[in-house]
Amino acid sequence: MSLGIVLDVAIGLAFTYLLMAIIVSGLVEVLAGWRKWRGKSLRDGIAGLLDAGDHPLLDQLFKDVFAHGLVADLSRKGLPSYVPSRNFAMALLDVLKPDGSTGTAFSRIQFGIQKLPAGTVKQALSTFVEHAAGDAEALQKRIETWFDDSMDRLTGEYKRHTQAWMIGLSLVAAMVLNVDSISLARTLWTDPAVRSAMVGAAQQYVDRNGQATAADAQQKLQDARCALEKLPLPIGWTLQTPKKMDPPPACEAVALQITDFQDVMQAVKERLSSNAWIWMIVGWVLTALAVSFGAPFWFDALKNLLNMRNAGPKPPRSEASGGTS
Amino acid sequence: MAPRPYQGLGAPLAQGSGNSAAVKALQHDLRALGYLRQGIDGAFGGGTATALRALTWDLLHNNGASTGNDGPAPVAMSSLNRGAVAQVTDSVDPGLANCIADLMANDSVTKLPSSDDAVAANKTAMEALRAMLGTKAPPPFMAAMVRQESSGLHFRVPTPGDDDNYVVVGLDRNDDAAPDAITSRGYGLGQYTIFHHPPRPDEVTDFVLDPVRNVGKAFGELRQKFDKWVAGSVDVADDRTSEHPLLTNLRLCRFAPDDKRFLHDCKNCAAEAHKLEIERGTPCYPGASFGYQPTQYYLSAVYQGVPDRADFLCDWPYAARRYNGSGINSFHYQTRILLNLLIEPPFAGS
Repeated sequence: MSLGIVLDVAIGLAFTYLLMAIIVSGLVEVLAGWRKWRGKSLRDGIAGLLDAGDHPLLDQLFKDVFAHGLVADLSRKGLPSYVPSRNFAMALLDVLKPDGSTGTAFSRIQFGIQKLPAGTVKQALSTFVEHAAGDAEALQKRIETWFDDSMDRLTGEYKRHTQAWMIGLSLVAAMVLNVDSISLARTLWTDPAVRSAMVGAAQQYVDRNGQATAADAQQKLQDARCALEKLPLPIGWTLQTPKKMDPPPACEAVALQITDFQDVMQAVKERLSSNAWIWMIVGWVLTALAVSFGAPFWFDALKNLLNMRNAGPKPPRSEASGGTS
Repeated sequence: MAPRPYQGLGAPLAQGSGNSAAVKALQHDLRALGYLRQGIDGAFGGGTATALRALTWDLLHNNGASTGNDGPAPVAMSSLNRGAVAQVTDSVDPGLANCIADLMANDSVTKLPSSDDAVAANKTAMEALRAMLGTKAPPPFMAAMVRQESSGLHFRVPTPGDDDNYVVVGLDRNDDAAPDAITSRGYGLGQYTIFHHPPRPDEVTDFVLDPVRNVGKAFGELRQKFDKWVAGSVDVADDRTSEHPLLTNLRLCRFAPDDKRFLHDCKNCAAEAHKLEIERGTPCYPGASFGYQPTQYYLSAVYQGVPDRADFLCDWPYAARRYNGSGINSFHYQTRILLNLLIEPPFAGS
């Protein structure tokens, strides 16, 4: 058994997963934008930080902070998806000062905190006041840190949330596009032409994207979809005949190969009748799990695999060493 | 001892008396005995009359006990009356004249010290105060308080027509039932206060005579006010509670002890603080039931550009208020101290 073949199979799989991951994470982004996940998550995070819901006064505090110009104006319409900690701290301190109270800002803030119902918010703010010892700026800094810490936690939660969607959508994509890892691996293993075509395509992709500046997300998604469809692999709901390798069809002309519902049904039947369907499902699940690792993971993996294959990192292309281009 | 000029006169000495030599001698003795606040000028005025009432009250009632808790006097003034005085009076009849002369001759009645070179002694005292390091309380606050308490003087400086070169003394009359009685006396530069009279000889050598020790005592006293009279254990300062309801820990200084500005940069803190305009009726603190008003000691209740004590990042403004007076007077006092901080020359550390 040649290590080279194993590497090439791995490269082929990694490249497929990378393209899938770009598509799926693009979908998750679209979904997040449509369902306003970020804004809602931020709003819920701030509500949680201020214990809104525990007491009408805390509800009011949260509403006042969220409606404060320093927060509400961060988004022209709808929910802000990002609030700088400085804005939050200044808005909170401003809201805490009771109307009509007199004294220094620091005194008035203390009156406001004093009026809050006993609980973790009051406790935290009181501790900040004690540590700030009269310095309003120091107090604001402490609140900013408090907010930043809670936003870090929130980012973690948001990531877990999108990760769950990533897995779910990966599975759906694996099924819809019929990307079955087992069948892919088998094809790659047995067909040297497919293998070398895949390695070539992967190398080309990495070279291009390795230097490209972060492209527009929409464009990336589109590119990935095209690239995936040009792959000489048994993916899509076609009858069990591999796609022809050349000439590669123009991307726009390919409509995910799900052109005919009857074809799809026929393809499903073929697989069901042959008991291959169990392996197909296992293949989908494997694909879904792999894809859910995300595009950055697979991009790195692919680069490493290609480096291994080329026995050492490929020297960067020098602008000075003139070429034939 | 030769008779005093106010002894053996035909008529009692009283307010408006023209016998200036006798009056001067009387004022000298009242000053030495700790009853006259200031002025040895030979003119029998309201100050001399008030001093005599305080003296005769003591001869009738002062049994040597302290009105505070600083121990008894070395002698009970009432035991030295010997029938000379039957009631509080502000004129000197022969019986009272002899009694005063006896008090002067009696070594158990401690006399206040005076200085032959008051100007030099005062200068030395202020220099010592300004050079003090490692004090328990901030020297700029102490200097601001000294300026308010004694105009920066430990001994009064004689002027043409006024021989007064005795140690500066502040007299408090805080007993509504006995308005003539002097209830406590603050001595010298730091107006270190004791609540019995006459002072014990060791007290005279300790802080009445020596301005540096006097200020040292005052630092200790101010620190005591800071530690116990701002946020417990003896009392809680209403102004602080009102302005910093959530601060429980006392704030010694915004700077760390190893910073050279530690307890020394008060002038800058005062300069940075937001400034307040105070007038008649301005509440003494947020939510106070009373406001600034003129009082017996402070004739005006209008102050401009007062550093806001709530803006200080320490609790010394609150402690300073506890150092002198009570009620509205203490707020007047605090205001003067905060204003004085602005005009003190910078200190060594700042």
